[in-house]
Amino acid sequence: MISLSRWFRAPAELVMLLLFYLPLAMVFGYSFLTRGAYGGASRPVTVEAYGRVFDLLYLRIVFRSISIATASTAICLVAAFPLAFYIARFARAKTLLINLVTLPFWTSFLIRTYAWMFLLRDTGLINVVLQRIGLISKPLPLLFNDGAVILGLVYGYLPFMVLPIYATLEKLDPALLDAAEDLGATPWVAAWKVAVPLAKPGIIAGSILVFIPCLGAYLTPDLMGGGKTVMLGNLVQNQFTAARDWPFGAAISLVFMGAVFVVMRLLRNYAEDSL
Amino acid sequence: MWSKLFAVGLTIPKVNEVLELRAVTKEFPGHRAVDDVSFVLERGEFFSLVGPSGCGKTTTLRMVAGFEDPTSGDIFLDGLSVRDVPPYRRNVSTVFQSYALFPHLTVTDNVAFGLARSRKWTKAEIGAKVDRVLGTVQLTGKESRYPRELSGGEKQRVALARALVLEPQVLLLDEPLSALDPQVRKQIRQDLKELQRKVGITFLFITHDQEEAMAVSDCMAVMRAGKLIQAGTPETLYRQPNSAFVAEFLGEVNWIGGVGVRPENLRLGSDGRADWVSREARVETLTFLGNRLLVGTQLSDGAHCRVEVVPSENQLQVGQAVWVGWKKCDELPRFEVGL
Repeated sequence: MISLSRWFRAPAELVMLLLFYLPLAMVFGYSFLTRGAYGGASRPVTVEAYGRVFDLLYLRIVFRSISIATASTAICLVAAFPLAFYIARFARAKTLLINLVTLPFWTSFLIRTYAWMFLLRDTGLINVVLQRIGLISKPLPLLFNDGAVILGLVYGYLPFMVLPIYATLEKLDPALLDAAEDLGATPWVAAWKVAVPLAKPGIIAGSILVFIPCLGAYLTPDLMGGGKTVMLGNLVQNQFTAARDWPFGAAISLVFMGAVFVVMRLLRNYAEDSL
Repeated sequence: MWSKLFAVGLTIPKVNEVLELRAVTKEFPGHRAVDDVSFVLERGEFFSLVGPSGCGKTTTLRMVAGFEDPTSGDIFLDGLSVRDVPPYRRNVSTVFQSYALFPHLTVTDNVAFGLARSRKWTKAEIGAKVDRVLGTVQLTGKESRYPRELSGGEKQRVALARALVLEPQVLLLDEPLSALDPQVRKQIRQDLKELQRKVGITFLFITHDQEEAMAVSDCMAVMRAGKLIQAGTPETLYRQPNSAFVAEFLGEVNWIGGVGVRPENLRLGSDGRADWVSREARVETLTFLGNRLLVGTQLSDGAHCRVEVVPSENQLQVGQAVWVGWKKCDELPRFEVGL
């Protein structure tokens, strides 16, 4: 008799096998092949694609992606911590506020990104209003640049930073902050010296949850970055479409995955050491 | 110059009054946690607020610390109102019930936390102060431990050291012994009393344990349902309670025809004595506790009465007829039963 636990595991295992491990194995296979003239890939087997990953041209995109993802994560952190702290320590309707934080998830990410584009474009609401009231004479370049990409990423991933930080702060004994104030710390210092260090696991978890999808973001840089190949996600997509270089696209994906894996391990070790 | 001070409403504090609560009331939505409470702490005094849980003693303490604002009334530290002084500017320190030690800091850093917040001291001075206070609470050698590596008693002493090192005008202790084993509680409360004498800091101590309060306090106040019922020395409160509530909260009372007598003041005899008030009774139960014997009796009018005597050779027996007697001077004062 097959044990019950196996049956519970089976659906997830099947999905993972068909939709994750199998495609991953295919990507791995493609990365060692030679590009075909109309896409696809064929023999001979080679590691040529991996060599090109470290080309200066592509390293620049890697660097750019890391910069944008780092900036987005930092902004998310600065915006999310005070909010999470406020909800955990002061707010009455905690559950309501946390639900409001997750409210954007109720609509498609694509639709929300388009909404931002309608706000930011030259003939969008912001520029029109600023021109009407006479503050500017010609539209500000709000869209199709790195700033717009960062704005879109921060907007999209902010809840992933708020939730884990809130979870750690919510468990914090409120007497600890009372104690800090009792010992002469202003509320700001109490938050900095007590709440921030004790929320470190949440901060690390939130940073991972924001940084990794930002690094691999495709939709936001594609739409809000104005179609220029700004980030890794777009580079990979480009190899599988316009450039018709599947082995190279596969190699970039795998190197990128490996890098993320290493960073995550380092972060996790750091988080465990600090507990 | 003095007249000017008086003109803006300043009063010269009595030298010995370090803390005064004047008609302090705290209302939360739907209930009044503290109701018109006034009392005064003299400098160097060990003062206890005692009462059943929910009587408002913790809220009172939190108002003194500054975590809650009184709805009405005022609090004075050394004669100055602290109404608009936030907790981090008040020179009072709290030992929290949960100790609230910072889990990410060592013993040393926990104790130095308050010193580091004021810019009065150099690093070397802070180090010296921390060393000294850790010596006082006998934690030398545990400097680099983290709170999770300490026993309950050690944590409690770190919390004490952290508050004491700031030399507060008043040290507030919120049931600091309640998390400890019953066996060590009695020892630690004695240590606490000695420590208070040694450092000379005024203690405001909160407990629901009346025996603990009587054991350590110079002065204590009994609270009930937000109101302060009676304040005084432990002996005064025990011998001259102003209400049945205080009488019964601090110890057992037999109510005999409207008169209150404590079990240890009752005597058993084979007949009535002329200089004693006596009642005929019958022995119902005997409980031997080693150093004393609890005798449950029923008086001739049917009322039950508990007598505490020193166990003696001549054995009492259940069912035996006895006389229960007491001296007039050992009667508790008369008051309305039921308050």
